[in-house]
Amino acid sequence: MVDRPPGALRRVLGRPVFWLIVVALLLIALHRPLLRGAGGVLVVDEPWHDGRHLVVLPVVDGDRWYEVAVRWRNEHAEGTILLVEPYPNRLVEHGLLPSFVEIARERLTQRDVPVEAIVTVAGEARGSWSAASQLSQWLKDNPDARLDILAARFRSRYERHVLDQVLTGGQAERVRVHALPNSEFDESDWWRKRAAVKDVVGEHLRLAYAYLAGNGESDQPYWDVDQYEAKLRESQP
Amino acid sequence: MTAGSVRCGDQLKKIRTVRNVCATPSNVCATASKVTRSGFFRLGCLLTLVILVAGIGILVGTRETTLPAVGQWLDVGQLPRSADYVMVLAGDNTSRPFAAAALVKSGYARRVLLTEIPLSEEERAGLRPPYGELARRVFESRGVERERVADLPGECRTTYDEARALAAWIEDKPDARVAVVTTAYHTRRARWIVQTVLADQADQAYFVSVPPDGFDGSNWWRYEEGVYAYVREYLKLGFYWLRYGGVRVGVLVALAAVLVLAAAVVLRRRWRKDDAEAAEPTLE
Repeated sequence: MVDRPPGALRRVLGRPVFWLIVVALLLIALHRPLLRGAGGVLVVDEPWHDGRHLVVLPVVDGDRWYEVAVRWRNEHAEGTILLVEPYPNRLVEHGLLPSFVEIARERLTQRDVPVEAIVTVAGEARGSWSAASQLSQWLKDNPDARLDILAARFRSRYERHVLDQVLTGGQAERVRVHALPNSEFDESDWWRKRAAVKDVVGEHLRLAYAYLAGNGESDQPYWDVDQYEAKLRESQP
Repeated sequence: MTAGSVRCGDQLKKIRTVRNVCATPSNVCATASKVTRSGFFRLGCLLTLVILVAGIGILVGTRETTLPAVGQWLDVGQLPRSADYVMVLAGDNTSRPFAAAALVKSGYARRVLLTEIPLSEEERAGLRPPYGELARRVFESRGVERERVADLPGECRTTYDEARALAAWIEDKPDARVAVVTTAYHTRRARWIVQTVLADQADQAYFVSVPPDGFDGSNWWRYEEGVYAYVREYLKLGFYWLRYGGVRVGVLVALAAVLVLAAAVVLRRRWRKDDAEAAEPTLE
Protein backbone atom coordinates (compact mmCIF):
# COMPACT_ATOMS: atom_id res chain seq x y z
CA MET A 1 0.00 0.00 0.00
CA VAL A 2 1.45 3.37 -0.99
CA ASP A 3 0.75 6.68 0.83
CA ARG A 4 -1.03 9.11 -1.43
CA PRO A 5 0.59 12.54 -1.77
CA PRO A 6 -1.13 15.16 0.42
CA GLY A 7 -4.01 17.08 -1.16
CA ALA A 8 -3.51 20.54 -2.61
CA LEU A 9 -5.18 22.25 0.33
CA ARG A 10 -3.10 20.30 2.79
CA ARG A 11 0.03 21.17 0.86
CA VAL A 12 -0.83 24.87 0.93
CA LEU A 13 -1.75 24.82 4.62
CA GLY A 14 1.51 23.07 5.36
CA ARG A 15 3.59 25.84 3.89
CA PRO A 16 5.19 28.25 6.36
CA VAL A 17 5.03 31.00 3.72
CA PHE A 18 1.25 30.63 3.63
CA TRP A 19 1.03 31.08 7.38
CA LEU A 20 3.42 34.00 7.30
CA ILE A 21 1.18 35.72 4.76
CA VAL A 22 -1.92 34.92 6.85
CA VAL A 23 -0.30 36.35 9.98
CA ALA A 24 0.87 39.45 8.08
CA LEU A 25 -2.61 40.01 6.63
CA LEU A 26 -4.19 39.56 10.04
CA LEU A 27 -1.74 42.01 11.57
CA ILE A 28 -2.50 44.55 8.86
CA ALA A 29 -6.25 44.07 9.16
CA LEU A 30 -6.25 44.15 12.95
CA HIS A 31 -3.50 46.70 13.52
CA ARG A 32 -5.85 49.28 14.98
CA PRO A 33 -7.40 47.12 17.72
CA LEU A 34 -4.01 45.56 18.44
CA LEU A 35 -2.23 48.88 18.80
CA ARG A 36 -5.14 50.34 20.71
CA GLY A 37 -4.85 47.39 23.06
CA ALA A 38 -1.11 47.88 23.43
CA GLY A 39 -1.69 51.49 24.48
CA GLY A 40 -4.82 50.78 26.49
CA VAL A 41 -3.14 48.21 28.67
CA LEU A 42 -0.99 51.00 30.11
CA VAL A 43 -3.95 53.12 31.15
CA VAL A 44 -5.84 52.97 34.42
CA ASP A 45 -8.58 55.52 34.97
CA GLU A 46 -10.53 54.89 38.15
CA PRO A 47 -13.75 56.61 39.26
CA TRP A 48 -13.24 59.72 41.32
CA HIS A 49 -13.64 59.70 45.09
CA ASP A 50 -15.94 62.30 46.45
CA GLY A 51 -12.90 62.88 48.62
CA ARG A 52 -11.10 66.09 49.39
CA HIS A 53 -7.50 65.49 48.41
CA LEU A 54 -5.99 65.64 44.97
CA VAL A 55 -2.36 64.59 44.47
CA VAL A 56 -0.08 66.05 41.83
CA LEU A 57 3.04 63.91 41.35
CA PRO A 58 6.33 65.52 40.31
CA VAL A 59 6.15 64.28 36.72
CA VAL A 60 4.33 67.33 35.38
CA ASP A 61 5.13 67.83 31.70
CA GLY A 62 2.72 70.58 30.81
CA ASP A 63 0.18 73.08 32.01
CA ARG A 64 -2.73 70.68 31.66
CA TRP A 65 -1.89 69.17 35.04
CA TYR A 66 -2.53 72.47 36.73
CA GLU A 67 -5.62 73.11 34.63
CA VAL A 68 -7.13 69.83 35.82
CA ALA A 69 -6.11 70.56 39.43
CA VAL A 70 -7.67 74.03 39.30
CA ARG A 71 -10.88 72.67 37.75
CA TRP A 72 -11.04 70.03 40.47
CA ARG A 73 -10.49 72.66 43.14
CA ASN A 74 -13.30 74.79 41.71
CA GLU A 75 -15.63 71.80 42.09
CA HIS A 76 -14.38 70.98 45.59
CA ALA A 77 -14.31 74.21 47.54
CA GLU A 78 -12.92 72.44 50.60
CA GLY A 79 -10.42 70.42 48.60
CA THR A 80 -6.70 70.28 49.22
CA ILE A 81 -4.09 69.81 46.54
CA LEU A 82 -1.10 67.73 47.62
CA LEU A 83 2.26 68.24 45.92
CA VAL A 84 4.78 65.42 46.30
CA GLU A 85 8.23 66.91 46.77
CA PRO A 86 10.89 65.39 44.48
CA TYR A 87 14.65 64.96 44.78
CA PRO A 88 16.15 68.15 43.40
CA ASN A 89 17.78 67.73 40.02
CA ARG A 90 21.05 69.45 39.14
CA LEU A 91 19.37 72.53 37.67
CA VAL A 92 17.35 73.05 40.85
CA GLU A 93 20.34 72.27 43.04
CA HIS A 94 22.36 74.99 41.31
CA GLY A 95 19.54 77.51 41.62
CA LEU A 96 18.95 77.69 37.87
CA LEU A 97 15.35 76.53 38.05
CA PRO A 98 12.75 76.80 40.79
CA SER A 99 11.74 73.49 42.33
CA PHE A 100 8.65 71.57 41.27
CA VAL A 101 6.83 72.62 44.45
CA GLU A 102 7.66 76.31 43.88
CA ILE A 103 6.48 76.19 40.26
CA ALA A 104 3.30 74.31 41.14
CA ARG A 105 2.44 76.67 43.97
CA GLU A 106 2.94 79.66 41.72
CA ARG A 107 0.83 78.15 38.91
CA LEU A 108 -2.01 77.23 41.24
CA THR A 109 -2.13 80.46 43.22
CA GLN A 110 -2.06 82.45 39.96
CA ARG A 111 -5.34 80.69 39.15
CA ASP A 112 -6.95 81.63 42.46
CA VAL A 113 -6.25 78.46 44.39
CA PRO A 114 -5.74 79.68 47.99
CA VAL A 115 -2.29 79.08 49.45
CA GLU A 116 -3.80 77.17 52.40
CA ALA A 117 -5.36 74.68 49.95
CA ILE A 118 -1.92 73.57 48.76
CA VAL A 119 0.00 71.10 50.90
CA THR A 120 3.49 69.76 50.29
CA VAL A 121 4.14 66.10 51.03
CA ALA A 122 7.73 66.50 52.12
CA GLY A 123 10.49 64.17 51.02
CA GLU A 124 12.92 63.54 48.19
CA ALA A 125 11.08 61.36 45.70
CA ARG A 126 13.51 59.95 43.10
CA GLY A 127 10.62 58.24 41.34
CA SER A 128 7.20 56.73 41.82
CA TRP A 129 8.30 54.23 44.48
CA SER A 130 9.63 56.87 46.86
CA ALA A 131 6.69 59.16 46.01
CA ALA A 132 4.37 56.31 47.04
CA SER A 133 6.32 55.94 50.30
CA GLN A 134 5.85 59.64 51.00
CA LEU A 135 2.12 59.28 50.34
CA SER A 136 1.99 56.19 52.56
CA GLN A 137 3.39 58.20 55.44
CA TRP A 138 0.92 61.00 54.77
CA LEU A 139 -1.99 58.53 54.71
CA LYS A 140 -0.79 57.13 58.02
CA ASP A 141 -0.87 60.62 59.49
CA ASN A 142 -4.33 61.28 58.00
CA PRO A 143 -6.23 58.02 58.57
CA ASP A 144 -9.56 59.27 57.23
CA ALA A 145 -8.26 60.87 54.07
CA ARG A 146 -8.78 59.44 50.60
CA LEU A 147 -6.68 60.47 47.65
CA ASP A 148 -7.27 61.08 43.97
CA ILE A 149 -3.95 60.93 42.13
CA LEU A 150 -3.29 62.50 38.74
CA ALA A 151 -1.05 60.36 36.56
CA ALA A 152 0.39 60.70 33.07
CA ARG A 153 -1.92 58.74 30.78
CA PHE A 154 0.40 55.94 29.69
CA ARG A 155 2.05 55.74 33.10
CA SER A 156 -1.17 55.33 35.06
CA ARG A 157 -1.08 51.52 35.26
CA TYR A 158 2.52 51.68 36.42
CA GLU A 159 1.57 54.20 39.13
CA ARG A 160 -1.32 51.97 40.23
CA HIS A 161 0.99 48.97 40.42
CA VAL A 162 3.58 50.86 42.46
CA LEU A 163 0.91 52.17 44.86
CA ASP A 164 -0.46 48.64 45.30
CA GLN A 165 3.04 47.40 46.16
CA VAL A 166 4.00 50.20 48.53
CA LEU A 167 0.75 51.12 50.31
CA THR A 168 -0.15 48.66 53.06
CA GLY A 169 -2.91 48.02 55.58
CA GLY A 170 -5.84 49.08 53.41
CA GLN A 171 -4.12 52.28 52.23
CA ALA A 172 -4.20 51.18 48.59
CA GLU A 173 -8.02 51.16 48.57
CA ARG A 174 -8.03 54.76 49.78
CA VAL A 175 -6.20 55.85 46.67
CA ARG A 176 -7.54 56.18 43.14
CA VAL A 177 -5.53 56.87 40.02
CA HIS A 178 -6.76 59.08 37.19
CA ALA A 179 -5.16 59.02 33.76
CA LEU A 180 -4.66 62.56 32.60
CA PRO A 181 -5.76 63.06 28.99
CA ASN A 182 -3.09 64.23 26.58
CA SER A 183 -4.20 66.76 24.00
CA GLU A 184 -1.90 65.37 21.30
CA PHE A 185 -2.50 61.61 21.45
CA ASP A 186 -4.20 58.81 23.34
CA GLU A 187 -4.75 55.04 23.09
CA SER A 188 -6.62 55.38 19.79
CA ASP A 189 -3.86 57.06 17.79
CA TRP A 190 -0.55 56.91 19.68
CA TRP A 191 1.27 55.06 16.87
CA ARG A 192 0.94 58.04 14.57
CA LYS A 193 3.18 60.32 16.70
CA ARG A 194 6.85 59.75 17.20
CA ALA A 195 6.80 61.13 20.75
CA ALA A 196 3.85 58.92 21.63
CA VAL A 197 5.58 55.81 20.28
CA LYS A 198 8.62 56.57 22.43
CA ASP A 199 6.31 57.12 25.38
CA VAL A 200 4.37 53.87 24.93
CA VAL A 201 7.49 51.75 24.36
CA GLY A 202 9.20 53.33 27.36
CA GLU A 203 6.20 52.84 29.63
CA HIS A 204 5.89 49.18 28.61
CA LEU A 205 9.54 48.74 29.60
CA ARG A 206 9.00 50.53 32.90
CA LEU A 207 5.88 48.48 33.69
CA ALA A 208 7.57 45.20 32.78
CA TYR A 209 10.52 46.05 35.01
CA ALA A 210 8.21 46.96 37.90
CA TYR A 211 6.27 43.69 37.57
CA LEU A 212 9.37 41.54 37.24
CA ALA A 213 11.89 43.23 39.51
CA GLY A 214 9.89 45.49 41.83
CA ASN A 215 11.43 48.64 43.17
CA GLY A 216 14.43 49.53 41.02
CA GLU A 217 14.89 53.09 42.14
CA SER A 218 18.49 54.20 42.38
CA ASP A 219 19.70 55.80 45.57
CA GLN A 220 23.10 56.70 44.17
CA PRO A 221 23.85 60.42 44.38
CA TYR A 222 24.04 62.41 41.17
CA TRP A 223 27.57 63.04 39.92
CA ASP A 224 29.20 66.14 41.29
CA VAL A 225 29.96 68.93 38.81
CA ASP A 226 32.91 70.33 40.75
CA GLN A 227 34.55 66.93 41.08
CA TYR A 228 34.03 66.29 37.36
CA GLU A 229 35.67 69.59 36.53
CA ALA A 230 38.56 68.94 38.93
CA LYS A 231 39.21 65.57 37.27
CA LEU A 232 39.28 67.21 33.85
CA ARG A 233 41.77 69.79 35.07
CA GLU A 234 43.99 67.04 36.48
CA SER A 235 43.98 65.16 33.20
CA GLN A 236 44.78 68.28 31.18
CA PRO A 237 48.28 67.79 29.72
CA MET B 1 20.58 -14.79 -22.24
CA THR B 2 22.17 -11.76 -23.72
CA ALA B 3 24.68 -9.62 -21.97
CA GLY B 4 22.15 -6.78 -22.01
CA SER B 5 19.50 -8.80 -20.24
CA VAL B 6 22.03 -9.84 -17.61
CA ARG B 7 22.90 -6.21 -16.93
CA CYS B 8 19.20 -5.38 -16.74
CA GLY B 9 18.55 -8.23 -14.35
CA ASP B 10 21.45 -7.07 -12.13
CA GLN B 11 20.09 -3.57 -12.03
CA LEU B 12 16.65 -4.89 -11.04
CA LYS B 13 18.25 -6.89 -8.25
CA LYS B 14 20.11 -3.82 -7.08
CA ILE B 15 16.92 -1.79 -7.00
CA ARG B 16 15.11 -4.55 -5.14
CA THR B 17 17.94 -4.73 -2.66
CA VAL B 18 17.73 -1.00 -2.05
CA ARG B 19 13.97 -1.18 -1.62
CA ASN B 20 14.35 -4.13 0.69
CA VAL B 21 16.71 -2.16 2.83
CA CYS B 22 13.86 0.29 3.15
CA ALA B 23 11.91 -2.46 4.93
CA THR B 24 8.90 -3.23 2.85
CA PRO B 25 5.93 -2.92 2.97
CA SER B 26 6.14 0.50 1.35
CA ASN B 27 3.98 2.39 3.85
CA VAL B 28 6.67 1.81 6.44
CA CYS B 29 9.05 3.63 4.11
CA ALA B 30 6.55 6.51 3.79
CA THR B 31 6.18 6.66 7.53
CA ALA B 32 9.94 6.86 7.82
CA SER B 33 9.91 9.77 5.39
CA LYS B 34 7.22 11.52 7.43
CA VAL B 35 9.25 10.89 10.52
CA THR B 36 12.25 12.47 8.78
CA ARG B 37 10.18 15.48 7.78
CA SER B 38 8.56 16.00 11.16
CA GLY B 39 11.90 15.14 12.69
CA PHE B 40 13.40 18.14 10.88
CA PHE B 41 10.66 20.35 12.24
CA ARG B 42 10.96 18.99 15.74
CA LEU B 43 14.72 19.25 15.63
CA GLY B 44 14.40 22.86 14.47
CA CYS B 45 11.95 23.70 17.25
CA LEU B 46 14.07 21.94 19.82
CA LEU B 47 17.23 23.68 18.66
CA THR B 48 15.52 27.08 18.72
CA LEU B 49 14.20 26.38 22.21
CA VAL B 50 17.58 25.17 23.41
CA ILE B 51 19.32 28.23 21.94
CA LEU B 52 16.73 30.57 23.49
CA VAL B 53 16.83 28.94 26.91
CA ALA B 54 20.60 28.68 26.80
CA GLY B 55 20.86 32.32 25.72
CA ILE B 56 18.63 33.52 28.55
CA GLY B 57 20.36 31.19 30.96
CA ILE B 58 23.80 32.40 29.95
CA LEU B 59 22.64 36.04 30.18
CA VAL B 60 21.15 35.51 33.64
CA GLY B 61 23.96 33.33 34.88
CA THR B 62 26.71 35.59 33.64
CA ARG B 63 24.86 38.88 34.04
CA GLU B 64 27.60 40.32 36.19
CA THR B 65 30.00 40.01 33.26
CA THR B 66 27.66 40.07 30.23
CA LEU B 67 25.38 42.97 31.07
CA PRO B 68 28.18 45.42 31.91
CA ALA B 69 29.64 44.58 28.50
CA VAL B 70 26.23 45.17 26.90
CA GLY B 71 26.01 48.54 28.64
CA GLN B 72 29.59 49.60 28.05
CA TRP B 73 29.42 48.71 24.37
CA LEU B 74 27.21 51.74 23.88
CA ASP B 75 29.81 54.06 25.36
CA VAL B 76 32.39 55.04 22.76
CA GLY B 77 33.38 58.30 24.42
CA GLN B 78 37.03 59.25 24.27
CA LEU B 79 39.35 61.00 26.68
CA PRO B 80 39.02 64.74 26.28
CA ARG B 81 41.58 66.42 24.05
CA SER B 82 42.00 69.88 22.71
CA ALA B 83 39.22 71.14 20.42
CA ASP B 84 38.03 74.47 19.07
CA TYR B 85 34.39 73.89 19.90
CA VAL B 86 32.35 71.78 22.23
CA MET B 87 28.97 70.81 20.82
CA VAL B 88 26.24 69.87 23.28
CA LEU B 89 23.69 67.39 21.95
CA ALA B 90 20.19 68.20 23.16
CA GLY B 91 18.27 65.76 25.29
CA ASP B 92 19.46 65.87 28.87
CA ASN B 93 19.98 69.41 29.96
CA THR B 94 20.45 68.48 33.61
CA SER B 95 23.90 67.08 32.89
CA ARG B 96 25.27 67.62 29.36
CA PRO B 97 25.65 71.43 29.55
CA PHE B 98 27.42 71.07 32.94
CA ALA B 99 29.93 68.64 31.41
CA ALA B 100 30.44 70.91 28.39
CA ALA B 101 31.03 73.90 30.67
CA ALA B 102 33.61 71.86 32.59
CA LEU B 103 35.43 71.09 29.32
CA VAL B 104 35.57 74.78 28.38
CA LYS B 105 36.68 75.84 31.83
CA SER B 106 39.39 73.18 31.89
CA GLY B 107 40.79 74.55 28.66
CA TYR B 108 39.80 71.69 26.34
CA ALA B 109 37.69 73.95 24.12
CA ARG B 110 37.17 77.64 23.57
CA ARG B 111 33.60 77.95 22.37
CA VAL B 112 30.28 76.16 22.74
CA LEU B 113 27.83 75.12 20.04
CA LEU B 114 24.18 74.56 20.91
CA THR B 115 21.51 73.14 18.65
CA GLU B 116 18.10 74.70 18.27
CA ILE B 117 15.26 72.45 19.30
CA PRO B 118 11.50 73.06 19.19
CA LEU B 119 9.79 74.13 22.39
CA SER B 120 8.50 71.34 24.62
CA GLU B 121 5.02 71.44 26.15
CA GLU B 122 6.55 72.57 29.45
CA GLU B 123 8.46 75.35 27.72
CA ARG B 124 5.43 76.49 25.74
CA ALA B 125 3.48 76.68 28.99
CA GLY B 126 6.25 78.79 30.54
CA LEU B 127 6.98 76.16 33.19
CA ARG B 128 10.65 76.31 32.32
CA PRO B 129 12.83 78.44 30.04
CA PRO B 130 13.58 77.22 26.50
CA TYR B 131 16.44 74.73 26.18
CA GLY B 132 18.89 77.24 24.69
CA GLU B 133 18.28 79.79 27.41
CA LEU B 134 18.54 77.22 30.18
CA ALA B 135 21.81 75.88 28.75
CA ARG B 136 23.19 79.44 28.61
CA ARG B 137 22.24 79.90 32.26
CA VAL B 138 24.17 76.73 33.08
CA PHE B 139 27.26 78.00 31.22
CA GLU B 140 27.03 81.38 32.91
CA SER B 141 26.65 79.80 36.33
CA ARG B 142 29.76 77.71 35.68
CA GLY B 143 31.82 80.69 34.56
CA VAL B 144 31.54 80.43 30.77
CA GLU B 145 30.56 83.78 29.26
CA ARG B 146 27.48 83.99 27.06
CA GLU B 147 29.60 85.36 24.18
CA ARG B 148 31.34 82.01 23.94
CA VAL B 149 28.08 80.19 23.29
CA ALA B 150 26.68 80.06 19.74
CA ASP B 151 23.67 78.41 18.13
CA LEU B 152 23.97 76.02 15.20
CA PRO B 153 21.38 77.15 12.65
CA GLY B 154 18.47 74.84 11.86
CA GLU B 155 15.78 73.36 14.04
CA CYS B 156 16.64 69.87 15.28
CA ARG B 157 14.22 67.21 16.46
CA THR B 158 16.52 64.20 16.42
CA THR B 159 20.21 63.33 16.73
CA TYR B 160 20.22 62.92 12.96
CA ASP B 161 19.04 66.54 12.56
CA GLU B 162 21.81 67.63 14.91
CA ALA B 163 24.39 65.75 12.84
CA ARG B 164 23.09 67.49 9.72
CA ALA B 165 23.25 70.87 11.41
CA LEU B 166 26.88 70.17 12.38
CA ALA B 167 27.69 68.98 8.84
CA ALA B 168 26.26 72.16 7.29
CA TRP B 169 28.15 74.33 9.75
CA ILE B 170 31.50 72.54 9.54
CA GLU B 171 31.49 72.29 5.72
CA ASP B 172 33.52 75.48 5.22
CA LYS B 173 35.66 75.00 8.35
CA PRO B 174 38.10 72.23 7.45
CA ASP B 175 40.37 73.00 10.41
CA ALA B 176 37.73 73.17 13.11
CA ARG B 177 37.90 70.43 15.77
CA VAL B 178 34.68 69.68 17.64
CA ALA B 179 34.20 67.75 20.88
CA VAL B 180 30.66 66.39 20.86
CA VAL B 181 29.26 66.01 24.36
CA THR B 182 26.46 63.58 25.13
CA THR B 183 25.35 61.01 27.68
CA ALA B 184 27.54 57.88 27.76
CA TYR B 185 24.93 55.42 26.43
CA HIS B 186 24.07 57.80 23.59
CA THR B 187 27.64 58.12 22.25
CA ARG B 188 27.61 55.08 19.96
CA ARG B 189 24.47 56.11 18.10
CA ALA B 190 25.56 59.75 18.03
CA ARG B 191 29.03 58.87 16.74
CA TRP B 192 27.64 56.57 14.07
CA ILE B 193 25.19 59.12 12.74
CA VAL B 194 27.69 62.02 12.92
CA GLN B 195 30.32 59.96 11.09
CA THR B 196 27.76 58.90 8.50
CA VAL B 197 26.56 62.43 7.87
CA LEU B 198 29.96 64.15 8.07
CA ALA B 199 31.56 61.55 5.78
CA ASP B 200 34.97 62.96 4.76
CA GLN B 201 34.96 65.45 7.62
CA ALA B 202 34.11 62.83 10.25
CA ASP B 203 37.58 62.98 11.81
CA GLN B 204 36.98 66.61 12.79
CA ALA B 205 34.60 65.45 15.53
CA TYR B 206 35.23 63.25 18.56
CA PHE B 207 32.95 62.24 21.43
CA VAL B 208 33.03 62.89 25.15
CA SER B 209 30.82 60.78 27.45
CA VAL B 210 28.81 62.36 30.21
CA PRO B 211 27.96 59.91 33.00
CA PRO B 212 24.24 59.31 33.52
CA ASP B 213 22.79 60.05 36.98
CA GLY B 214 22.02 57.18 39.35
CA PHE B 215 23.50 54.33 37.27
CA ASP B 216 26.12 53.65 34.60
CA GLY B 217 27.16 51.07 32.04
CA SER B 218 28.42 48.68 34.72
CA ASN B 219 25.19 48.43 36.72
CA TRP B 220 22.36 49.72 34.50
CA TRP B 221 20.18 46.55 34.73
CA ARG B 222 19.86 46.95 38.51
CA TYR B 223 17.88 50.16 38.19
CA GLU B 224 14.59 50.88 36.53
CA GLU B 225 15.86 54.09 34.96
CA GLY B 226 18.94 52.24 33.74
CA VAL B 227 16.90 49.56 32.00
CA TYR B 228 14.62 52.24 30.60
CA ALA B 229 17.57 54.20 29.21
CA TYR B 230 19.72 51.34 27.89
CA VAL B 231 17.00 49.18 26.32
CA ARG B 232 15.46 52.22 24.67
CA GLU B 233 18.88 53.20 23.38
CA TYR B 234 19.38 49.77 21.80
CA LEU B 235 15.96 50.04 20.14
CA LYS B 236 16.84 53.50 18.83
CA LEU B 237 20.19 52.25 17.59
CA GLY B 238 18.45 49.50 15.62
CA PHE B 239 15.98 51.99 14.24
CA TYR B 240 18.77 54.36 13.22
CA TRP B 241 20.71 51.62 11.43
CA LEU B 242 17.64 50.67 9.45
CA ARG B 243 16.47 54.23 8.84
CA TYR B 244 19.78 55.91 8.05
CA GLY B 245 22.04 52.96 7.32
CA GLY B 246 21.84 53.44 3.57
CA VAL B 247 23.34 50.91 1.16
CA ARG B 248 25.58 49.07 3.62
CA VAL B 249 22.79 48.17 6.03
CA GLY B 250 20.47 47.51 3.08
CA VAL B 251 22.98 44.99 1.69
CA LEU B 252 23.35 43.31 5.10
CA VAL B 253 19.57 43.02 5.54
CA ALA B 254 19.23 41.71 1.98
CA LEU B 255 22.00 39.15 2.58
CA ALA B 256 20.30 37.96 5.74
CA ALA B 257 16.99 37.67 3.86
CA VAL B 258 18.66 35.72 1.03
CA LEU B 259 20.29 33.35 3.53
CA VAL B 260 16.97 32.68 5.27
CA LEU B 261 15.24 32.14 1.91
CA ALA B 262 18.00 29.84 0.70
CA ALA B 263 17.75 27.79 3.87
CA ALA B 264 13.97 27.58 3.42
CA VAL B 265 14.37 26.44 -0.22
CA VAL B 266 16.95 23.78 0.68
CA LEU B 267 14.73 22.41 3.44
CA ARG B 268 11.70 22.45 1.16
CA ARG B 269 13.56 20.50 -1.56
CA ARG B 270 14.74 18.00 1.02
CA TRP B 271 11.20 17.47 2.26
CA ARG B 272 9.82 17.15 -1.27
CA LYS B 273 12.48 14.58 -2.08
CA ASP B 274 11.49 12.62 1.00
CA ASP B 275 7.82 12.84 -0.01
CA ALA B 276 8.57 11.72 -3.56
CA GLU B 277 10.57 8.75 -2.32
CA ALA B 278 7.76 7.82 0.03
CA ALA B 279 5.15 8.05 -2.75
CA GLU B 280 7.14 6.01 -5.28
CA PRO B 281 5.85 2.38 -5.47
CA THR B 282 8.36 -0.41 -4.91
CA LEU B 283 9.20 -2.86 -7.67
CA GLU B 284 7.89 -5.80 -5.69
